[in-house]
Amino acid sequence: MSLKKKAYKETKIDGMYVIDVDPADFQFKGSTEREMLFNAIQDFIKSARKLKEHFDLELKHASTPQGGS
Amino acid sequence: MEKISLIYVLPLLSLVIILIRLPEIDRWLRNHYSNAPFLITLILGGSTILTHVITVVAPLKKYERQENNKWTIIDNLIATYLDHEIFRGSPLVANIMIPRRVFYCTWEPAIGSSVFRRISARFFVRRLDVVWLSPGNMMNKQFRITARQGITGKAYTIGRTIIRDIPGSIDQLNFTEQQRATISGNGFVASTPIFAFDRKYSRSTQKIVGIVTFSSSIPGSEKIIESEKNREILKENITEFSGICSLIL
Repeated sequence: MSLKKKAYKETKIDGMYVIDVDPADFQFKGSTEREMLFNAIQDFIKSARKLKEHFDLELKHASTPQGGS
Repeated sequence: MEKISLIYVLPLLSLVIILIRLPEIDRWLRNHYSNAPFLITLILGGSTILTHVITVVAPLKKYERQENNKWTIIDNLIATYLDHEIFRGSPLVANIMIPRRVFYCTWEPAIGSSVFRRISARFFVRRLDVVWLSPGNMMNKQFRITARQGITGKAYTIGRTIIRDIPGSIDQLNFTEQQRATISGNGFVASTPIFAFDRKYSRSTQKIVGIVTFSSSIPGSEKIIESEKNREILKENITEFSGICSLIL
């Protein structure tokens, strides 16, 4: 499964970040249900890796000394 | 029902006729072979049991296995997800909740000016029952919510993804004092609806069949969602996960 590429748009309501989800954005790849599930899992793992890389980078930047004398 | 009648009624009826030994039928059978009633009873009885095993017991076992497998898939998946230590030092907890309408429920705080309103609000409540929790995690059994409570309830009601920090929202979640006492009050929650999957057209429908929640209760983890980029990636992840759930639920 992949999600239709759209610009990220959120609305802040009473401190909550509310993001629209349209069921039409879900694009299931594969001809059988089993194939769709397999592809969806693969895509999810890819997306999880992306998240990890992003946070790793962020934490690395945070721990790097920012100069000073 | 008609199929069941054909499978069971005909052999059983024949068995009864043979077993009650109607004189004419018994004589006719024994004329062919002296042990014919016994043999026919054995064949009919055996074939009925065999038919029952093939048509009822075996598929049921198969579905039971599939039913168990779906949680194994999710367990393995989330284990992979957590093994990557996405939030270092802030382990994520994932859960899946499904809505269930109940006749009477007292989990919500009593709100309303009149006694009638307070009592009527307790009837026909939509409860959110936890059907799956990520492996290695525990949920306080006292923490139970309805569709009108918490970030999860809000996400279910409005059918959108919601990301919210807990320290800043604890007073707005419509929790009772008892419910508040069961949560840490730290971290953040991200919830998104699970849409029903239409098997006929292989696509998601507008119907919401459950809610996925990712949360972290480690103090300070709420800072993670302060960045828009982090929220975007978190939203993408949780939405992908809800897509998998819609195929499984």
